[in-house]
Amino acid sequence: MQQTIVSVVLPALPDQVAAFHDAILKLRDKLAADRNGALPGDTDEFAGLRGRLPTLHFMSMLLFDPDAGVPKGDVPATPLFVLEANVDGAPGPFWAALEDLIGNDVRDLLRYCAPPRGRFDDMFKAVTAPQSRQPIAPLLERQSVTPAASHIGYRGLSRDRILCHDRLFRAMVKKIPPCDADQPADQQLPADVLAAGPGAIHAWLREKLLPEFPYLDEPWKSGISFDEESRDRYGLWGFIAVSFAGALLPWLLLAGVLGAFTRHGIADAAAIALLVGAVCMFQLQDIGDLLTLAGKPAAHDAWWILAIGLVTGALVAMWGHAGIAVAGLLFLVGGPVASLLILLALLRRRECREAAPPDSLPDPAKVRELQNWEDLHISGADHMGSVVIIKPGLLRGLLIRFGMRALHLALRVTATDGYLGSMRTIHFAHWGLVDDGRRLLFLSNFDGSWESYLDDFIEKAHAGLTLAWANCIGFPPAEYMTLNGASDGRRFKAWARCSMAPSRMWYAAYPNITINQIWRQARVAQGLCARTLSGRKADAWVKDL
Amino acid sequence: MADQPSTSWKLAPSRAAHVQGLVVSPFAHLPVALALLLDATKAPGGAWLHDLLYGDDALVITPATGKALDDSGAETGCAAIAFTATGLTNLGVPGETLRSFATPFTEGMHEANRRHRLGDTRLEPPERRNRPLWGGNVPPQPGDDQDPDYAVCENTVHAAVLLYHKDAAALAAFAAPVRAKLARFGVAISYSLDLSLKFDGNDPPIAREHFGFADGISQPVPHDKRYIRPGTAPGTPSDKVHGIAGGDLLFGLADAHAEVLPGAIVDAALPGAAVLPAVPQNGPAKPDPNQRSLGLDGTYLVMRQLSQDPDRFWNSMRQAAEQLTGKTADWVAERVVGRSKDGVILAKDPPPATKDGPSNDFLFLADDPDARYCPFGSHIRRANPRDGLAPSASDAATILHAANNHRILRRGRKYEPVAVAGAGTLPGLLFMCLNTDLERQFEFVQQTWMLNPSFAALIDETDPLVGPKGKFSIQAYPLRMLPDVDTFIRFIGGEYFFMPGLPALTYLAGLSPAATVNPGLVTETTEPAPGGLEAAAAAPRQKPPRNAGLRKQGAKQSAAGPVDPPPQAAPEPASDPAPDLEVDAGVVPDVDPGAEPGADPGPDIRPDQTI
Repeated sequence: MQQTIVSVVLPALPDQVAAFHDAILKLRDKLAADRNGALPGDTDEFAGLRGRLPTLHFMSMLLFDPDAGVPKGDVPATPLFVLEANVDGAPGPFWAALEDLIGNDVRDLLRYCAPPRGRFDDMFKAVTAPQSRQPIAPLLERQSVTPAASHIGYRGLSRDRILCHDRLFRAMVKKIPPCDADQPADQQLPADVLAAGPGAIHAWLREKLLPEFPYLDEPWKSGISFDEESRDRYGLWGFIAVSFAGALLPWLLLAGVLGAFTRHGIADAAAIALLVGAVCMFQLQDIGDLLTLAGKPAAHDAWWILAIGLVTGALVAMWGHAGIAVAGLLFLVGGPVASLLILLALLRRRECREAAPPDSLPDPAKVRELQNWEDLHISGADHMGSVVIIKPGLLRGLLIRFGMRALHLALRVTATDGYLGSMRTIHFAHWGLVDDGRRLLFLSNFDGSWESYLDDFIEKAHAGLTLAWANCIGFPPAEYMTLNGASDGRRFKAWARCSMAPSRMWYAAYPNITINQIWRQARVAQGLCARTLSGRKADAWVKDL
Repeated sequence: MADQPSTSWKLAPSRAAHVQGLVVSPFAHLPVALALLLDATKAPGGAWLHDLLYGDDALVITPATGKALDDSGAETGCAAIAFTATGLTNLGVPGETLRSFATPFTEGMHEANRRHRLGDTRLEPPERRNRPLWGGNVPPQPGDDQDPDYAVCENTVHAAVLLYHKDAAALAAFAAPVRAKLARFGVAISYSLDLSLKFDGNDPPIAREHFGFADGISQPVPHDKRYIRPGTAPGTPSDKVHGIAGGDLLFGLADAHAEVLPGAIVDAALPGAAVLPAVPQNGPAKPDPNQRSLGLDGTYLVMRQLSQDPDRFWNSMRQAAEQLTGKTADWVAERVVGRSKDGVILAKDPPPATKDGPSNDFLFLADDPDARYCPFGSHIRRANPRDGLAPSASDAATILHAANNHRILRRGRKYEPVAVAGAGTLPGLLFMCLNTDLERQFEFVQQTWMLNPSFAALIDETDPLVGPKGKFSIQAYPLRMLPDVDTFIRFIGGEYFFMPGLPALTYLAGLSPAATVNPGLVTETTEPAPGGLEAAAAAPRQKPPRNAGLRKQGAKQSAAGPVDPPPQAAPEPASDPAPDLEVDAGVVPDVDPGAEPGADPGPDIRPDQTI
């Protein structure tokens, strides 16, 4: 089962922003109080939504003010309305279910939006016309932004399975002494079973839980199917191959042109590429220093060894026009390396020319309003939405798309256990290019406080975050799109605060379960699905109880 | 471990002369202390402070250069002073300057969202919850829904004076002139607490908190290339387990984000600003010459009065022991704390004690990854998880470094039983800690570690020592134990204080009262919004407020105008050694205006000893 992250993004009518805020709040209050169709025992807010939208993990409706992410003194941008949904399965059925439930409420919200530019203008007008009965689902589906990069903390684990694992875990805990007074004696783990060790504990608990949770007899399904895993891997390799080809292309053309004049086009092009690469490396010599500072002292030497290697390669290529095999190899290596170095040199030149942005100064009243909607759930998830402006220019436009794609594919392949490096606090998060590629949207459903989330970014994942945001206006100065930037903690937090909209309408299907707990409960359930457990497996399993 | 890292540190003399001594020392050589919490509502302006610190028979705020000696060379008491946000307003600090302080400080500890984050709304059931006994009483801010039942403190606190001495009689004599001076200016002592260390007969002596456990063992060790001795290269902390950036303790040093922040700033053109040092250079850009730093050499002091109920604690430990067969109350209590009563870490092989007491030189991941000895949820593991939250050995260094970005320097002391509303008399702890980033350090520890119900993938439990009533997991083989633990502490009162450097004190003492009620804490957005957009942003939230109760408009603070026309602030005393400290980024100033050249920075204060 695959999860989908979608966000519908529409420009809002600038003169209606205040009324729009009120309408979103009104819908929030209505949905929070609605208990129609609630799951048994669910006393939390949004119980009705939880019962009747069984595929929905998280949903938010945000309205970004015109100055969100816009540096002080600049012209305000269009206010943006964002409807974010993180769902199990394909988006189509979800939009249809949402339409059934709150179609007309969402239609009312859409009436505060401006018609989108482009093909769906007519559809938008038909949907928002007075007394319109046109279905909104097709519009929502077509206006959805596909994430440029995304991360899911527990891929393939459906919402129902998460809730089910939680119920199973809590039922199990009740059977382990010290038990509540209402627990019948035959449902309390006996001392002799406890003394017999993990294998016996597993067998006893499984036997007692099976009647209430018959699915323990079904084979355990891992979250990510083999097909999906293969697709991700091919996707990443495909991306690397395409990037390689793209980087080689200019040198191939050069070889063709040179080939028309000399007999050794490939060897000559390889020599030129290697020399250009070496020149770029000389321009970029501070990379070595930066990497040394970043705690990789060997990098400095490696940098010069590579430079010498490039020059040597160029000499070999030119040496009587080395044999075709050697020349071809040098060409295949030197071409893409040279392209990468040229790109880095262009990027670095641009970075050096840009003045450091003035410190973002978030308005205290706005921060307080953001905070009023944060930390609603003491232990569990929280939400942030941010919109920032991408730096203009072809280079930045190219780099942000390239960087996002690389980040996305790399995360799909490597971050399958929920960890981004050493942090595991993100349920669903994504970046999307919105407003015709002029702005970058970031939406995240994370665990803990906003402060601790940003500290995680700063302390544990700053390189990835800098890669994602370095092409945006106001972001703390970055070097090579990965160094500094997000590790400049105070400026990064202030900048992020300026770009945010309060998460007034935010729904979480399991607001009090953190990702670490979801994984812990899933490990417990997986163990219980096994008919017997013994040895090291049982020892490991019993630690999670 | 083979070579014990040095946990002692000193400020360079050039810095130490401008810093309050409490930053570098808990004054553990002076076992008795007194906390005076002052309400200066009737004495606006800096005149009272000027008389207190610079008048006849002045109270000397101990500098970080060494032990305070009187004229005859005999040892005197030590003193420290700090101010709340409303205290600074009352002194006449301009609104613009006040806004340059950190938001948690200007909003105060009792702001509605902050109370929620700090756990002050959930420590106890509502029927046992009282309104805080004391705090700064910051007026409500636009857009917050303060709960008048809980958020308005009974006693307003503008400043805290901490006095330390060798015995009760000496302390009383030390405090007498202070009390007299304050009374003369109409500054009320709105609350006071007698504090003590009360060492036991152990060798080395142990200061135990009221449940009987050795306290204050674990402290961060700050490093700074230029201003802290022993100096270390950037990125190589002097202590591998407890090393933190010096700027996390003191403004003017590089902090965990490699920034040199001024703390708070004053317009250089304002009267009196000349006594303040220049803004330190932060990064490549030259600092603004039109500003002076009020925060430099200062820090934030967090104060929280927590009452402790030893009977309730040991009853709960006995009951928990009954739930677990074959365990004693002491055994459970040691798991709750994470150390033995004498302060030794619960471990397979605890590191050997040092000459100062139990060793604090240990990590969790390698030695106790499954928390079979020191439970994940124990107080010390929550208060500082070290590398214990790392998912694998390869992440341990990153996680330890990240954890050390949230450390606080503790300066708390215990007090003997005092009356507590609804609970008779209870002893307790006046928790005090120093840090420069209240959100990243103190609040983070409180919210993300101590009172986080999902800390380390635990489920629905908080700190067993200081959290609300609930479950407590004790990891064991074959199966974890899960006894119930009660609440034993109450939050009585507290506030965030600014503990200025010594030049900043001179500035504050020279202030005149603001002509009108100082609008310092009211943000600019209270002006009528020009359009609908801003109005929408500031629109009152319509979700149910977190705290039930009516919203109370207006502050009791602003109602109290100046009663007596206070005496005019005296001009700066010429004799006062308030140097115009210009710190050039490239050079360590070798002229030390506050101390004899070459003087050793205080061999007598045992720097940052355990208390």
